[in-house]
Amino acid sequence: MNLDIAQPLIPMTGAELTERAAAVREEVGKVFIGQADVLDQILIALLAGGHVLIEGVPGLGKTLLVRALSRALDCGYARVQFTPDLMPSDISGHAVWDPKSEAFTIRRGPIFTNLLLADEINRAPAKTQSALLEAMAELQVTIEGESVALPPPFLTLATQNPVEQEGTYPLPEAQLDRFLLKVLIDYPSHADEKRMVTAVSRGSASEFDLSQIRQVVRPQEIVAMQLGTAQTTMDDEVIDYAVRIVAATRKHPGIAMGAGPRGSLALVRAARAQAVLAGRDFVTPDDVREIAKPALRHRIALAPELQIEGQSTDTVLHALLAKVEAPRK
Amino acid sequence: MKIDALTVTLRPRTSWEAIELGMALTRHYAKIIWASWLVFTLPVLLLAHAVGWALHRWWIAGLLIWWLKPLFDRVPLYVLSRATFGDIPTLRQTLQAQRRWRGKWMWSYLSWRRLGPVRALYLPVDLLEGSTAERARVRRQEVGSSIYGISLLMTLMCGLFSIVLQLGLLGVALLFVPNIYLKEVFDHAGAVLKASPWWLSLIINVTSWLVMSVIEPFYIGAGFGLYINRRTQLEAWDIELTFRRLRTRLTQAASMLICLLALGLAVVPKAGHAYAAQASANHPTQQDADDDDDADEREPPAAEPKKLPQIFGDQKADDASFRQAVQRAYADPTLNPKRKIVSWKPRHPAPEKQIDLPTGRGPDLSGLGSWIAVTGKFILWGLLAALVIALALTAKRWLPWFRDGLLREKTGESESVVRSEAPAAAPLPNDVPVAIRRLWYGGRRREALALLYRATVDAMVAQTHVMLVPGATEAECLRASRRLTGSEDRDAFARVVSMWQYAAYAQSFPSTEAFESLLIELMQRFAWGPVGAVAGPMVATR
Repeated sequence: MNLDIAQPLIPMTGAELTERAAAVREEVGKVFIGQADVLDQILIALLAGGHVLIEGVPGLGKTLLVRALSRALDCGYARVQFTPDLMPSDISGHAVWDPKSEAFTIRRGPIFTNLLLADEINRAPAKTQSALLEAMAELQVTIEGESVALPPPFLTLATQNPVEQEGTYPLPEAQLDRFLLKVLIDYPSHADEKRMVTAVSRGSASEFDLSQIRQVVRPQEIVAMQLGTAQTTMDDEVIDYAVRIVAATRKHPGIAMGAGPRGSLALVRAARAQAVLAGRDFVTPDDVREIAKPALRHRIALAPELQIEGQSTDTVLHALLAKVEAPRK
Repeated sequence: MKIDALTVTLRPRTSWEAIELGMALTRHYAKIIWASWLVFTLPVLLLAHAVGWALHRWWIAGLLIWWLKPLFDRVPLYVLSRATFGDIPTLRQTLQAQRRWRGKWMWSYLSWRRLGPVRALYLPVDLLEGSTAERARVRRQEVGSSIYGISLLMTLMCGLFSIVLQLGLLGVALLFVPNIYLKEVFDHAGAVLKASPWWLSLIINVTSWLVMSVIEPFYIGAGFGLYINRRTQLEAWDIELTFRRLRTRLTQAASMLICLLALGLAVVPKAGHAYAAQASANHPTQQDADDDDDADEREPPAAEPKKLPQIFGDQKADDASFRQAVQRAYADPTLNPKRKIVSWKPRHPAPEKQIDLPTGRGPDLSGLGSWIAVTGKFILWGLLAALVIALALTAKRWLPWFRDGLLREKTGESESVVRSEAPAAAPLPNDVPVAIRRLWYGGRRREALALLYRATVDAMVAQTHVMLVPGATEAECLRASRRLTGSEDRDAFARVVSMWQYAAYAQSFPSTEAFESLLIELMQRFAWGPVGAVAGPMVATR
C-alpha cells in the first residue's frame, strides 16, 4: 500500500489530472451526501498536499468521509480519538524491548498511515497536539531520536467541535497555521438528509455500504497528482492578487492579527488545486477568491469589538475580498 | 419670588434627585410644554428648510435647527418657571412670552456661549432672574460652582441619548427591508452617503428635529430642577418656607389671642379698646373656614391687628420715660457684649526676617511663583493662539472631514489602504475599438484583451445598472451579466470573459480572426465608437 518514494514520479497534468480528481469526487460523493463543498475542500487539500481542520458538530459524517476517501484512493487510514490523557507516543509510536532479539524495536503509532483522522484534536493537551506539528510540516516523525518518514500521501483531517468548549485546549496559532484549510461542516439540507437516510436504511446495515465505492486512484498516482497540481499555471497577476488579499488582512480595521506569508503560500497552493478541481490547467482570480475563506479563516484573529458584536471571520473576509481589486489588465 | 406658592416639595436634595425632579416636572406639564414647543419650532423647521432649499444646501437647515436650540429652550423653561409656582401658562401666554423676551441673552447663547456645556443650568439664571450682565456672571458662578460637573454630565447624557435616538430612528428603516435585500442595501449605503442626495439630508434633518423635540424639554427640565435645588440650598428656601408656614399658623393663633384679649377688654369701659376688640372679633369664623393653603390670601386681614392705634389707642406714652428706657436697654451689657483681653507684647519687636531665620524656612519664593504663573499663563495663551491659527490655516484639510462625516472618512481610508496596493486602471479611451486594435496589432495582445474585457464589463454595468465591487472577479461579472436582456448579449459577454481568462491566466491567445470576429460583434452589440459618435452608455469612462 505504501509508496516507494525512491522511484521518480512523473507529474500528472492536463486532462488526466482533472479527470482523476473528478473521479475521486464522484466516488466519494456517492456516500458523502449533501456536503459537496466540504468534499471539494478536502480534495483541494489532498491535491495541494496540505492538511485540513474540520469544524463541525458530531454526527456529520467525518469518519465516513475518511473511510470513503481511503477506499477511493486505496490508502490506509487511521482514526485517533484525542482525549486529555492522550500522550504524544500514543500517536507517533515508541520503542519497546523485544526479549527475543534482546533489542529495542520501534513500534509505529497510528500516524503511520495515509489518511489520519484526528478526532476532536482540541481535547488533547498542547504537548500531544504539537506531536502532530512535525508530522504535518515535515512528513516525518522522530521516535527515540530516530526520524522516520511518513508514507506519502499523508493527509491529516483534524476535527474540532464548535460547541462544548469546556475542558478543551484551543489550538495555538502556530499549530493552526500548519493546516492548509479550515473547513466548516454544517448540517445537510433537508433533501440531502432524506436522500442519505433513504440510502442507509435501504439495506439491513446501519451505515453506508462502502463497497459501492470504486478505487479510482492509487497512492502513487495521488503523489503524481499533487506534483501536477503544483505545476498548474498561475499568472503573476493572480499570484499578486492572492498576496494582496493576504496583505489586506494585516491592514483591515476589523482584523487584529492578519495572516502571515504562510497564508499567501497556502492560498496559492489551494488555488491551484481549486483550478484542477474546476477542470482547468490554469488558475484564475476566481479560484483564489473561492478558496480564500477556507485558507485564511483560521489564520486571522478578529478585533475584539467585532467579536463582541458576534461577527464571524467569514463575514470580515467577505468584506475584505470585495475591496481587494481583482486583476483586469 | 413667592416661594410659598411653589407646587413642589422643597427639601434638601442631591443633584441627581434634583435632575429627576426637573424631569418629573417636564412630564407633569408635558402637554403645554410640547404643544408650545411644536408650535414654536415647527415654523422654524420649515423656514430653515426653505433657506436650505433656496441655497441648495440642505445641511444648512439641519445646522440652523441645531444652532437655534437655545432659542427653543426658552419655551419649556418659561412653562416650567411659571408652572412650578402654580401659574400654569397657556399656549398663547407661552408664545407671547417668547416675543416679550425678544433677544434677551440670546445673542450670547447663539454665539460664544452656543457650545457651552451647561446651558440648561445657566439659562434659568440669565432669563429668570433678570440681572444685569455683571450680576448674572456672579450669579452663574454662585449657582454653578458646586454642580457644574453634574450639569456637564447631564449634558453629555442627553447628547448620548440624542445620538442613540437619531441612529435608532434611522435604523428603523432597515427593519422594513426584507433580509434578502439587506446586503444590497448595505452595499448601496456607501454610495448613497457619498452622493448625499437631498432626501437623505431631509430625513436626517427631520429626525434630528424629532429627537431634539423629545430630548430638549427634558434637558431643560433637568437643568431647571438643578437650578431650583441650588437656590434652595443657597437661599434656604426650605427653611424660609417652613418659617412662613409657621408664621401663618402663629398669625392664626395670634388672631385668636387678640380675639380673647378683645373679649377681656370688653368689660373695661374704654371705647377705643372696645372698638379694637370688636374689629378683631370678626375674624375667627372666617379663619376657621379657611385651610392652610390660603394663608397668603388671609394675610391683609390678619395684619390689621398690628396697627398700634387700633390696639393701644391714641393715648401717647411719656416720651421722656421712653427715652430713658431705650437708653437703659442700649446700656444693657447683654445687648452689646464687650470683652477685654489682656496680653503681653514686646515693646520693640524684632524684624521679621530675624525671626524667620532660626525656624529653618527657605527664602520667600512667592515672587518667583507669581512670575512662573504669569509666564505660564501667557505661554498657554500663546499656545492656544498658535493652535487656533494652525487650525485656521489647515481648515481646507479638516473642514471636508467635518462636512462629510467620520464614517465616510473611515471608509475612504480603509478602501484607500486596500486599493492603493493595486495600480489603478487607466480610464477607457474614447474610441474603444480603435484603441483595442492598436494594441492587438502592436503586439500587445494581453493589453488589448484586457481593454476589451474592461470595456465589455463597463458596457454590461451600464446596461444592467448593477454595482460591481472593486474585487469583482470574472465569475461575479458573469453572474451580473445574467441581467442582460438579450441572450446574444449574455453569450457575447461570456465569450469575452473566456477569451480574457485564457489569455491572461493561461497565456493562450485567440487567433486574429477569432479576435476580430468577437470585436466586430461587440461593436455592433454595444454600439462602440468615439464619444459623441455613438449612442448608448457604453462610452462612459470608468
